[in-house]
Amino acid sequence: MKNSFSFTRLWQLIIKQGMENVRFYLLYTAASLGITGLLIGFWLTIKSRNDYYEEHFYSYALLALFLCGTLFANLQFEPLSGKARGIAWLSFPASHLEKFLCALFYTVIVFNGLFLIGATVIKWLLVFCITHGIPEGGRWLPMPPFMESEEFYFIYLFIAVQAFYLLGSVWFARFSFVKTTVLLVVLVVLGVYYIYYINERVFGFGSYHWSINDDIIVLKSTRIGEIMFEKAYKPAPWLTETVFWLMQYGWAPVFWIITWKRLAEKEI
Amino acid sequence: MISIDNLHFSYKRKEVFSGLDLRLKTGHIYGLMGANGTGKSTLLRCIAGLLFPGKGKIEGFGHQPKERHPAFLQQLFIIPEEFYLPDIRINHFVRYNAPFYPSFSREQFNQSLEEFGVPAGNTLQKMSYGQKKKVLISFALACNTPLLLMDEPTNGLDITGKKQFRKLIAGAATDERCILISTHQVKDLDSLIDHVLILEEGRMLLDESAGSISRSLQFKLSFDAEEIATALYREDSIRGSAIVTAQPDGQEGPFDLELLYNAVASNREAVLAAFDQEMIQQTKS
Repeated sequence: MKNSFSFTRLWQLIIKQGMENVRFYLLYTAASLGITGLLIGFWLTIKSRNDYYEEHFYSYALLALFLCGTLFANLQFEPLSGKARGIAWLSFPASHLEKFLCALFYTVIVFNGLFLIGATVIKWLLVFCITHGIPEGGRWLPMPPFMESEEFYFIYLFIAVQAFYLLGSVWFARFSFVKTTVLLVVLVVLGVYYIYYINERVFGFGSYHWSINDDIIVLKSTRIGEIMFEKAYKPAPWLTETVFWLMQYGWAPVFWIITWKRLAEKEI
Repeated sequence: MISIDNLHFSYKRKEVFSGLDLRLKTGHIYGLMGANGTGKSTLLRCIAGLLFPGKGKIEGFGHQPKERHPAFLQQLFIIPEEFYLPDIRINHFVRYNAPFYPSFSREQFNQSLEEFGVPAGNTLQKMSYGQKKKVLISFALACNTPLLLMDEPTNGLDITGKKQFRKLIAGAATDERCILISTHQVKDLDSLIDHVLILEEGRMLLDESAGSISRSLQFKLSFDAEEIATALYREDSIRGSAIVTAQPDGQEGPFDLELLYNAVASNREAVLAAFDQEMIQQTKS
């Protein structure tokens, strides 16, 4: 118990957290899958034709995952919003890192895993019904493997957004879900505005595009079909790879580290 | 064991402590008293590392509490006035929480629970506030942490529960343990406390052992008009006047926490001067 981190203690903490919240976790997962089912049901009712595209199923499932997964993440440090639970949580003999990893385990592995299993079961039931003639004349139109599709990038985005909501649950003492959502919207709007502002300064007025082919990044602006500005850059491959890798995988770890550090600063 | 030096703490603009010094040692039961809003609960939370000092230093078991290192946290247990227990059975609560406290004794926990008359198979959320508190107190005592912090522990306990509480605390007080009890319910605890701390205006107004108090001050009922008139503090009742006077012969006598607190609150300088007198007498002898 002299060390700040111990796998034994982390495992004990995970078991304790699980046993104390097992009912909540199961109910929440059931509710999440219920919402997924409702969204899929909505998709089925608004369809005018009997062609069921697999990518549409994933779009609705991802919408449900974003809604329920972010809220679940935002509830992880909910004890810190009240004095009684907060004192019990903070004075419990485990380090901030262990407490954080425990929350991360339930958010990223347990909830997302259960949701994935549930969504797979829903999809299996849906495919089973459609291929067995319910509704009559229905056709299931599969897509290439999900992990190779563009939709899969939404999973990276989801993990980053979920990490942001986890951070929000530590940062804001009350109404954290609402405040985190407002902050996220403000940051996205500011980000878009900043990119627009930079583009305007660099390119001048017009429509902006960028593309990447064979490690060459092409920046282009057009106005009424006429090219106003066009430049091609070829940065070192390692630089391009690192930047793209960080953009793809870097957000969530950054938010996780801030969450862990913020936990250590928390006062009740 | 716990040393606090020049502690400053504020809630935004409201200053709570301004240069507080305190030493807590093992083998004592400290009674922390003070008016509402003087910072008793805040002090407990600062010691437990739940609030961070603005200035000054707190040190306990070789750690700074604000780091909340597991090696520090496993040596203290705090029972706050508003406490939380999860919605599970008592047995499960013990099974999953006890491993974090190396000196936890299941036997001691069962004994305390039995003493309080709480059935061990119950689910915590179905219990009354008082019963839950009894479970928490039993668990805290069974953890055998060297430091036990309690904020208004007798609130919500029934009359028998308070009696059992006194008995359990008396049994749990050892030379290796320090118990700090913040309370307004002085009558519930005055037989237990062996060191009195009175907080006022961000400082420790009184920090004296029970022995020193009973050698310096005399607490008694009096009908003598002259004695009552010259007393440091008096409370009139139909049974006579309860008075606090300076102890004339330096001999130890019984003391009354409520009277002491009221005397310090209403006639601070004269009461504190009585302690100085005792110190002078001790130095001479």
